Parts: sequence; structure tokens; C-alpha cells
Amino acid sequence: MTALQAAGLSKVYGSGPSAVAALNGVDVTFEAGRFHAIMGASGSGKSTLLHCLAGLDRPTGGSVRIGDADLTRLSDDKLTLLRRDHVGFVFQKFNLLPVLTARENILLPLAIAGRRPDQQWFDQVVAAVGLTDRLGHRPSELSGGQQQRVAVARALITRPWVIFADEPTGNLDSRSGQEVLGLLRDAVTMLGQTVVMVTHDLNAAAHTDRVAFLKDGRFAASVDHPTPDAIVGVLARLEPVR
Amino acid sequence: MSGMLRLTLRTARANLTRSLLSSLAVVLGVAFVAGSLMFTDGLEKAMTGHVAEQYRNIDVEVTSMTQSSDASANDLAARVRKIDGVRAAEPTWTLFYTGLATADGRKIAGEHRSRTVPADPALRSVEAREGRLPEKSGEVVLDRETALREGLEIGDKLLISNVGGDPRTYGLVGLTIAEGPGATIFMTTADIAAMAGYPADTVIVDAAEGVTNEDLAARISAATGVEAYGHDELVRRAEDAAVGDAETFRNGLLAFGVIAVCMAAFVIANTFTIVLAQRTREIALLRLVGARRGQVFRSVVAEAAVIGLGGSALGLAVGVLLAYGLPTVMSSFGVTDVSPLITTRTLLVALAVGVGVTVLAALLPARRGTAVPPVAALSDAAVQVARPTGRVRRVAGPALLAIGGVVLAGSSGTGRIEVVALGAVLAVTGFLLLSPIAVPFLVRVLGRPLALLGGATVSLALANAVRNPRRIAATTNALVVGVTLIGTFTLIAKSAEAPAERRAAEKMSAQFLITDSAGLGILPGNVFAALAREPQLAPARPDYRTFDQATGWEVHTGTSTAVTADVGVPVGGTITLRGKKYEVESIAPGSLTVWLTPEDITTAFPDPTLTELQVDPAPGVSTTDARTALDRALAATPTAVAYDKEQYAKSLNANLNQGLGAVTALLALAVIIALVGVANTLTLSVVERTRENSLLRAVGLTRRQLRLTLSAEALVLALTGTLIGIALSSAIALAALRSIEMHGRSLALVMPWDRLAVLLVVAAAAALAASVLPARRAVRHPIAANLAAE
Ligand SMILES: Nc1ncnc2c1ncn2[C@@H]1O[C@H](COP(=O)(O)OP(=O)(O)OP(=O)(O)O)[C@@H](O)[C@H]1O
Ligand SMILES: [Mg+2]
Repeated sequence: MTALQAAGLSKVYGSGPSAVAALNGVDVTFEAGRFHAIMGASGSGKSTLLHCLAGLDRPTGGSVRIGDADLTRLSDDKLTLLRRDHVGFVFQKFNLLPVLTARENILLPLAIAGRRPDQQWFDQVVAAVGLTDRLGHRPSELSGGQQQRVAVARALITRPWVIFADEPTGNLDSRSGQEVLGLLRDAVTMLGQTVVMVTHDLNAAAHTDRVAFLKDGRFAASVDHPTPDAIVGVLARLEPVR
Repeated sequence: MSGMLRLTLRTARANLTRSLLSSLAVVLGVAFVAGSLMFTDGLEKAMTGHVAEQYRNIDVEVTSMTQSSDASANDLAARVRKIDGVRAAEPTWTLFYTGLATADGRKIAGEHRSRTVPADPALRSVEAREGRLPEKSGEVVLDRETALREGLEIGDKLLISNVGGDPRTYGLVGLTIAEGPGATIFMTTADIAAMAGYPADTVIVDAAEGVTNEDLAARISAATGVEAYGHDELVRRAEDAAVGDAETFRNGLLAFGVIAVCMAAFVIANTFTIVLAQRTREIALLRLVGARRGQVFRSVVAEAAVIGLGGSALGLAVGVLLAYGLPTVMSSFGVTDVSPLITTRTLLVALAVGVGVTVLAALLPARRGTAVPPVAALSDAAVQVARPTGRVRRVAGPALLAIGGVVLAGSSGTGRIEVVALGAVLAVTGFLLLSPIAVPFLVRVLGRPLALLGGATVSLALANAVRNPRRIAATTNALVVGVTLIGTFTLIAKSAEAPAERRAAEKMSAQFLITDSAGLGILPGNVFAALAREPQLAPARPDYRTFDQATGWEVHTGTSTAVTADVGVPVGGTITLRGKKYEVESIAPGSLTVWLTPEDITTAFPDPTLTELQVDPAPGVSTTDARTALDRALAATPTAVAYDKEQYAKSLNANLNQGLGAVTALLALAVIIALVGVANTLTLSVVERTRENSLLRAVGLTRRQLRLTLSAEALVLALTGTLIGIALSSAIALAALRSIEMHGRSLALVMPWDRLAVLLVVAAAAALAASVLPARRAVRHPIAANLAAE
């Protein structure tokens, strides 16, 4: 089943001679219940694609579907509610609100929606990310890895259709990075989530089920069940060393 | 230009919004100071101009200061005329509290004055702007403002009377300029002499050829033994008085200006603190690449000076508008016809105040804000850690608050308002020191019910509001001070006002009270007869007063014969007044006073003063019909007014209310500046939280919800500040009222809930308005771009 689909997606920043085409007609689909990676050189449009897919930014052309919703047709409010209820996010950094405790950060989407949390699910998520004894702390009292785990827990708490992650391990040491990747992997395998992750890290990408490659704002290739070697191969083909 | 200075200007320009924000407070403060100066300079010029005009044709003025007996005063003019060098001399009168009404009996309220038009044209200083001057008995001119306001035209008939005197009808033959707040009426010497009923104590003189005014004045003084001044001296004296009046007025306005400027300093200091905290990284980077701390400090101070300069220039412009607007506000004090005057002094003062206040206010924040170690550039200081509250504050704050409280409590009954002021200053200072602890606490407490109502968004707003205790304290403190000032004035004024209703109720035994409009207690005797002619009114109860020359007793009106103890006659004894005997029926408090019935007074004394009358409707007549009858009976007496209880209480409080209105309007500026501070803080917080807000939007906060969080934050700030201010002012007002007594009783604190509610609502509305622009800015930001931004 297709969880997420982009067709003819384009995004142009600015206008006139200074316009930059970050995305140039991207067609890509993401299967439900799988762990997807997006890779590509710096500036190839990965973050832009992720933002457009997640409804954080409006594409200049083309369409995005999450489930049966066409994001490009939704009003800002509808889009916001869709993000709130059906999309989870993990960013590279600044994932959390400094004034809220870990618990409050995790529950933030539910609190915004004015919904009561499902206590059992909350306990399960918190146990999964290993934060049970850290819930009363503020982000400034947590390590970078712990902060990212809080972010993963927040992404899971609404049982979203898709979780988006933009270089979630970019700021972490390799051990913390492994832990976070493990969590995302578990979310897919054990909970049946769909995860779309942008990464530069070969090892991170090797955790996923499928890697999509971008080049100059276009879909360039994809690899199923990637191994580090396979990924290096595709990257070398796409960006020949000059 | 040095490199650092160029950097400063670039920073100021790059942070244009922030710079504008900090300058807004300066603009308002400077505008008020400059506006006050321009207006009072204009006022001074107008007033001194009037003065010179009034003495235009008077060479010497002779004024007998002592109340002269009839004979000597009568011939003062005659005696002066005989002196060598006097070409002409005439007596003149200026009568205050003149009653004025249209021919059909419509009374014109105000403090009117009547003046003399000398018979000899060479002695006249007044001239008719329209029509002509009165030439014969029964003609008057009136000032143009009153004529315009009341719709009077040349040819109309007017009823005019001296206080306590019978009115006469005059024809309006011309219009002239006003000399005071009420109407100015000019009439012939014969008419005004008749209206006054007493001889003039002032004689104006026209000097003959060949004698100087000063010599003549000296000659007259020597010959008559009465003070006489030459023209120049007269003008100088009157101008001094006018300048003094303008000066007093200016000082009063400037006192409010000082408050406004202090408020602005508060806001500027807070703005700079926030801005510099946000620039920590930037500053650290400068230090990292080799800028010395002093250089950075100087560049910040220079930025403050630039902002201050810009603010002063804008403030001057706004001040001009204000100066043109002030006369409308002040017209109730009789200030009209004033065009503001812009002097070099005003320009310099405005610039000095603007730049000075901004730089001074920025000094401390600049010192702290630039004490950044270069390494801070490398650390990831996403959230600014607030400095903890110092020990000095934690100890001195509660101590001062407690001492202030004790002083306030101890001032009770001392009658010393200085003690109350001292206690108030101590308590407020104590609170301000303690505010970084107290304000966040109160915000949490006050915000709790809001959070229950508003859910997650409001909880978030509260968490955001208290995240930096010093910042929120500094923001609300300005508001606290402003509201405390307004609140204290309002509470004291309203408490002082409340007894008026009691006094009105005590005094009025009938439905209507008739007195003279000036409140002097002198009514023309014929009012009593006029009321008696109205069948729809019950017989009026007059209150007469007189003085018995033979015994030295005051004679008042009572229901039976009574005396004070010091008259020395017991109950049952008899007193003799003007040959008639009265049996004493009771003893009353007071000194050397006897009370007789109205009938006894009118039979015994030829000309007692009628001070007031009380009257009820005749049996079976409605209040409205009685009122109509009453107005009809009083139509011919311009000085008499009839009040019901409510109107009378209102009239007792008229001055108080007018004063309170003016003070509130002037202090409102302080509160407005404080609210500008709230807007400043919010805007800067929004800038600081750009990324957080984007994150919130990413995880599902709608635009409306984001706006709501900011509104809620503004609202709790404003409500907290206002409530603290009201609480402080209640304590101060209570102490002030307890320390003084009025009319023999101490005053109870009256909480004017309606006004306080209005204050709260206005503060809340203003806070919501203040959050509109920051919220606009917050929701306009594209989410994705901000998340990616460093
Ligand atoms: N807000 C913006 N305004 C203008 N151009 C932008 C903006 N955001 C991105 N771009 C441009 O769009 C292109 C794609 O940017 P994007 O951030 O998607 O790249 P990326 O693949 O995520 O790179 P990286 O691996 O460095 O994160 C780049 O050329 C970038 O300069
Ligand atoms: Mg990127």
C-alpha cells in the first residue's frame, strides 16, 4: 500500500534571475509500513522534498498525497490539523520546546489538539525510547541523544500515518545515533509505522528498507534493502569524483 | 568614521524594528515634555499679551487696598482729579461671580466677570471687535467666545446680576475678547456702579501732558495716602503674575512629563536588556575576532544615542501635534486662544531628554550585555539562561516592602501625608526589587484559571511568560508603577467624593435646594417671593444669616430659638436682639451664634442675607411639574440655581471630578508607555522564539492557536501588572485616607469598582492590541525556512 506519493513535484525559491529550482519534477512513492531513506549531495533538495512531503512547505508545482489527502489542495488550517494528527517529525536539532518538560514535549501534539493521552500507549512509547526516569526534565537538562529520543517519542505518540526525520542523527555521536536509528527501525518493524528519513550517513541509510536518491532536484535512483556498498556504488555513479 | 561606529549604525539599521520599538517609548516621553513646553510657552505669551492689552490706556492706577468706608472711597476719584498732572480720573469696578442669563431665563453657567467701560475714551483699554462699546445705560458688550458658544448675537437681550443682587435686562451692542474662563461683560460706569452697590476701590488715571506716569503715581500716592502705580509698573506686575501662573501650570505638566520619561527609561532599559541578550552570540563573535569589551560597550551606547536622537526628533514632531491638542483638553480650565510656541530651548530640552534618557537607560544593560566571554560564540546558547535573583534583592525587597507596610499602617491618624508618601515609595521599591520572584509567581497563580479555560495553548503561553523572570518582571513593573499612580489618585478622589452624597443628604431636608451658582451663599431676597408665587411649590424654607452689631453674635436660621453655650444664657432664659426678647429653647454647638426662626429674623433685621432656600413640591404635584415651576420662578434670577440631591452632590464634587479627569488623562500616558513596553517585550520574544514557534506550527498548532498563545501571554502580563498596581494603590490610598481627616471625619476607602473594572478592561484590551503585530509576525513566518535556519 502506498503511504505517500509525490507527482511532478517542483519547488522554486525566489523569482526572476535569482530563482533557484530546488525540486525539478520529482515523482516518488513511499510504501506504507517501511523505513525509507532519502540521500543525495548537499543542496540536491532533500530537505526541500521532505518539507513538501510533510506539508511544512508548499510546492510550486505537482502534488503530494498522504493517505487519501492531497496536501496541495488543503487550506493552511486543514494542513496543520493533518500534521498534528497524522504526521510525526524528528529534526536534526531544536526539536523540543525549552519551556516544557520531556513529558510535556512528548504530549505536545495531543495537548494542542486538546486530547487525552492513551496512558498505556504513552507508557509503551516512553519505555521503548528509554526515558521513563527522565520525564520531568527540561530539554536543557537532557543530552543530545536523549533529546532526540524525546523527539522520536513525540513523533510516535499520535500513531501517525508517516514519520519524517531530517538527519535525525546528524548531531549525535555514533552510539546515540545508533540508538535513535534503532528506535525508528523498531517503530517500523514492531509498530508498523512508515518512516521517511533524510540522511548523509551510510550506516544510517543501511538501516532502512529502501533508499531514494536525489540529484539536482530530481529523483535519480532507488535501492531496495540497501547495503553500505550498494549505496556507495549509486552515490559514486551519481556524483563522479572529479 | 571609525569601523566600530559604522558597525553600530549598520546594526541599528539592520535591527530597524527593534530600534523603532525602543524609540517608541522615547518618542512618547519626549513628545509629552516638548508638547508641554510648547504649549505653556504659548500660554505665557498669550497671557502676558492680554495683560499689556488690558492696561493699554491706563497711565496710573490707584488702588485702595484697605476696605474703605463709604465716604472716603466715594470721593477718591474726586480727590485724585484735583491733583496736578491728572487730566482725567474715573472709578472702575471688576465684579466677579456675575450672573448671566438669556432674556428668556436660560442660565449661562461659568465664572463670569463684569468690567467697566470708562466714560472718557482716553481711559478705555477695551475695544469692540464687532458692534460698538456701550454708550448709555442698559447696554453691554460680551466676549466673542461666550457669544459664539451660547449663540448670542448683537441686539439680543441679556439678564445680568451681581451675586445676591436683582437682575436687570441689558442689550448686547458689541463683542470683544475674553479675559478669563467664564464670560467677560463690559458695561457703563453708571450701570456697573449700580450693580455693584458699593463704591469703587480702584481709580484709573490719564496723565496730563508733560508729566511722566511714574512721577504722577508718586504724586497721587503722596497726596491721597493710597497706593498708585504707573503704567509700566502695572504691566510688569500683572505680567509677573501671568508668567507665574503659566510657570505653575508648566511645572505641573512637567511633573507628569518626568513620570512619563521615567517610564520610558524603564521600557528602554528592558528593551536593551532583551536585545543584547539576543545578540549574545553576535557580540561574542565580535569579541572572538578581537574586539575589546570597551569597544563593544561603546558601540552599544552609541547605538542608544542614535536611537535616542531619532526618537527625540520624532517625539518633537508628535509634541507639536500634542501642543495643538492640549488646549482642547485644557479648555475646561479657561485656557483658550493659545497657539503653541516652538523655542530653541524646547528643541534643546527635547533632544537632551531623548538622547540622555535613552543613553542612561542603556548603560546598565550595555555593561551587562557586553560582558560576554568570546567562547560564548561557540556554545550552542539556544535558550538564554536568566540570571538568578540576587541576594540583595531577596533580602532588601521583602525588608523594604515590610518597612513600607509598617510605615503606611503607622501613618494612621498622623495627618501627615509625607509619611504616607514615604511608606508608599518604600513599599513600591520593595515590591519592584522582589518582582523577579513575585511576578512570575503571581502570573502562575492568576494564569491557572485561564489555563483551565484555554487548555494547552494558554498553558504554553504561561510557560513562555515566566521563562525569564527578570524580563517579565521588568515588563510588568512599568505597568505596576503606572497603574499604582492612577489607582491611588482615583481611589483617594473617589473616597473623598463619597461623603458629598452624605453631606447632600444631611443638608437637604426638602427635595430641592436653591443656592447661588458660585456657592457664596448669597441669594437675592426676591427669590423667596418668586417661589411663593408658584402654587405648584410648597412654601419654601429660607435660610437667612446676619450679624448683630450690638451683641457681636452671628444670627442663623433655625426651627426654634437656640444659642451656643458661650452666649451665656441657659435654656428658658431670654436673649434680647434689636429690642426684641426671645426665650432660649435649646443650646447648640458652635461659638457666639444664635438661631432664630426665619420669621423672627425677617421681622427683627432689615436686610438679612438669604443664603439658600429649600423647597418641596406642593402636595399632589409631581417632581417634574415642580421642577418646571421652580425653573420658571428662578428664570429672572441668573445667579440662582436649583439642585435636587443628586445634582447637589455632583456640584459639590465638580472640581474634584474635573481635577481627577485631568490627572487621569495625564497619567494615562505613563500607562500607555508601559503598554508599549509590553508590546516591545512580546515582539522581541517572538523574534527570539521564531524557531520554537515554527516547531509548534510543524507539530500542529494552527495560526489561530499561535495568535491565541501570544494574546494569552500579553493578557496575563497586563492583568498581573494591573492587579498588582491596584493592590498597591489600595494600600496607599487606605493609608492616605486614614492619615487625614476631612470635614471632621476620617474618610473610608471607597473602591470604585466600575472605574477599576474599566482600568482592567482597558489594560486587557490594550495588551491584546499590543499582541496583534507580534502575532502577525509570528504566523507569517514560513515554517520550513525557520526550522532549517541556524
Ligand atoms: N529558503 C530558501 N531560499 C532560497 N533557496 C533555498 C532555500 N532553501 C533551500 N534553498 C536552495 O535549494 C536547494 C536545495 O536545498 P536543500 O536544503 O533542500 O538541500 P539539501 O539536499 O537538504 O542539502 P543539505 O544536505 O546540505 O542539507 C539549495 O540549492 C538551496 O540553496
Ligand atoms: Mg538538508
